[in-house]
Amino acid sequence: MARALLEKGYPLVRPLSGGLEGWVSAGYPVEEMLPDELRSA
Amino acid sequence: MHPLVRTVAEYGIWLVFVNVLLEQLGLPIPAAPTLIVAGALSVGGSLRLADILAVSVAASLFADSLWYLLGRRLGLGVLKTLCKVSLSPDSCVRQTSAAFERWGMPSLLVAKFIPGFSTVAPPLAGAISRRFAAFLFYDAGGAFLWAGSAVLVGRIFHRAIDRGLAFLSDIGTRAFAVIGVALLLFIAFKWWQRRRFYRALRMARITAEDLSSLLSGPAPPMVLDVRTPSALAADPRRIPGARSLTFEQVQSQAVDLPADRELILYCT
Repeated sequence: MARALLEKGYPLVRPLSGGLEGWVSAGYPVEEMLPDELRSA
Repeated sequence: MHPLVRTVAEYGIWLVFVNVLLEQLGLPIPAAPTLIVAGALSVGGSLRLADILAVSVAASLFADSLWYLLGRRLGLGVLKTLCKVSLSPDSCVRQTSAAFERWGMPSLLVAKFIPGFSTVAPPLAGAISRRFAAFLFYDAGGAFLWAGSAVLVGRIFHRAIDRGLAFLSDIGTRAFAVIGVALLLFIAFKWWQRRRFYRALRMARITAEDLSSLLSGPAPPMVLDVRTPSALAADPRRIPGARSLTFEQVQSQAVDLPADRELILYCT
C-alpha cells in the first residue's frame, strides 16, 4: 500500500510499526467505527 | 519397489491420514506424493479408493477446523502471525483477505491448490466469523477435490509410479541443491529490494509513541486505516480520526489525499 501511494505521488508515507495492535498494546486510545462507516468502507 | 511405495503399502490408510493431517496443520510434509502412491496402489486393490478419500477429507477437516477455531478465537492476529513467514507480511495479509472477500467461502474449494492460501484461508474464515457449517461444507468439498486429484494422478499413472519415483530419487540431490540455491537467491533479492525501498524512500516505520506525539503536535499527519473491509468488520476499532482507505481506491485514481502532509498507514 505504501508503495502504491508513493507511486501515486505522495512522498511522505510511513507505516505504523505493529499496526493497530501495536497502537492498542502501547495503551493509546481507539474509537469504534459506526455501522454506516463500516458499510461504506 | 521404491521406499515410498513400500512405506505406503505397509502402513496403508493410517499413513495417508497422518501425512494429510500434518500437512494441513502447517508442517512442511507434502501429502501429495503419498496420495499419488496411495492412488496407484488402489488400482491393484492394496488400498480402497473410498478409504483414501474418506481419511484425506477427515484429516483435512480436523486440521482446518482447528485453524478455523483459532481464527475465530484470536481474530486476524492469527493471519498476521502466519504471514510473518512471508517476504511481504503486509501484502500477504491484504492479498489473502482480498482474495477471500472476492470469492467468499467457495474459495475454500480451490484453496488447497494454491500454496500459502491453503494455510491462511481456514483461520481467515474463522476470524471474519463465517458460519461453521458453511465452512465445513466448502472445506470438505475442497479437501475432496484436492485429495481426489492426487489420487486420480496416481491411478492414471500407476504403471509408471515406481519408475517416476526412482527417476526423482536419482536426480533428487542435484535438483534439491539447484532449487535450494535458486530459493536462497530469490529470498536475498527480495530482502535487498525491500531494504533498498525502505532506505530510498525514508520508509522507516513510525512507532506508536512517535505517532502519538506527532498527532498532538502542530502539524499532525493524516492517519490511514488500510485494512480490508472484512478486517474492519472483524475489529471495528480505529485510531481516532483515521480515514479508511482500500488498495482498490488507491489503484482506481479515486484517492484524494494531501500531498504535503505526512501519511501514516496502519493495518491489523
